[in-house]
Amino acid sequence: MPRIRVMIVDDEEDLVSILVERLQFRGYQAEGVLSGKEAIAKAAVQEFDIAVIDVKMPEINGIETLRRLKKIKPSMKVILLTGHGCEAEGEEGLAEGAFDYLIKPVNIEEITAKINSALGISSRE
Amino acid sequence: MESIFDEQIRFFASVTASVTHELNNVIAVTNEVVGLLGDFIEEGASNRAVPPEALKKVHNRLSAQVSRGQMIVKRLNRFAHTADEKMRTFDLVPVMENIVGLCERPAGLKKVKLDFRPGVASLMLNGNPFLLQLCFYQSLRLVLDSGCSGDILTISINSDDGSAGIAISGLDKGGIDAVGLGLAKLAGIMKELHGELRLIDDGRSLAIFVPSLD
Repeated sequence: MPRIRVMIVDDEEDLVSILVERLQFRGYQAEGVLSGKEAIAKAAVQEFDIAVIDVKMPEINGIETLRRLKKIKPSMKVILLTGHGCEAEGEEGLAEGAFDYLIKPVNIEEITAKINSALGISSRE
Repeated sequence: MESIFDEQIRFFASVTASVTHELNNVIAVTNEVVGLLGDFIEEGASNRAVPPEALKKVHNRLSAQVSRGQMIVKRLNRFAHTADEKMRTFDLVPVMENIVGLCERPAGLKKVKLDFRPGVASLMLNGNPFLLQLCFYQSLRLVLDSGCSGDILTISINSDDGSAGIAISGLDKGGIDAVGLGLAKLAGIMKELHGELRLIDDGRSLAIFVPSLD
């Protein structure tokens, strides 16, 4: 089975690097970027199966990043990360085509379960 | 029109929401670092050696998040205590240093950095520190929302003949009119503070002037 290509998008540099490391540890082909702008540029030149995007980011927020990604890569799945009390943003993301949203802080098992569910995978090999 | 009391509640709520979002990020990172440590333990259990550098990195990451969390809580606590008394004698410099620190995140979301340059070591005022911070916060929002800000906004404090001036400098020419139009919204607060809010330096700075004891 080919490795799942995941892009992590969050302006929290530490969070991105650790999530990437932990996803790689679990066999995913994970890469991270620190802004919506970088995510759009990367998706234009590289294939990803799924993106995990934080909603609250400077300049281009997660919802706008989702909209732009869906324009250039309609088949790419997107999971949003939002904060407590910001569920409305998650719902807005669903209306814009996100597969689902998770409320921070999330653990790696929740993320991998959601990634697998979005890609129709019942369990990791 | 919204009363000053309503504005104060909204201000407190807005700062609290921003700070708790930042704390949530600290918890999220800490959560992942702890998880990473769990991954290493799992690796160790499988007889795969974990390099000492990797463990050192985990230690440094955890220490950094603890320090970050402590700073955020300290700032919020100091801010909350400025609402203890309506009128009091206080030093403007640490109060401003604290609120500028709390404004780093909302400014950062607009890709703007705040550079605090007090100019004086201490400046005593008799007044309402909470209301003064509200005035600064609203003024900063006005500048950030006008889209006229550059990459860095400098926050300075000056003292001149019984008056304290807090200036937000680094405004672009294009946004001066937008900021100017919003000044009227803060008239009620300025009246309460017995102060004045105006654009100075050919519109490159927005300044709050309030009476000082020095």
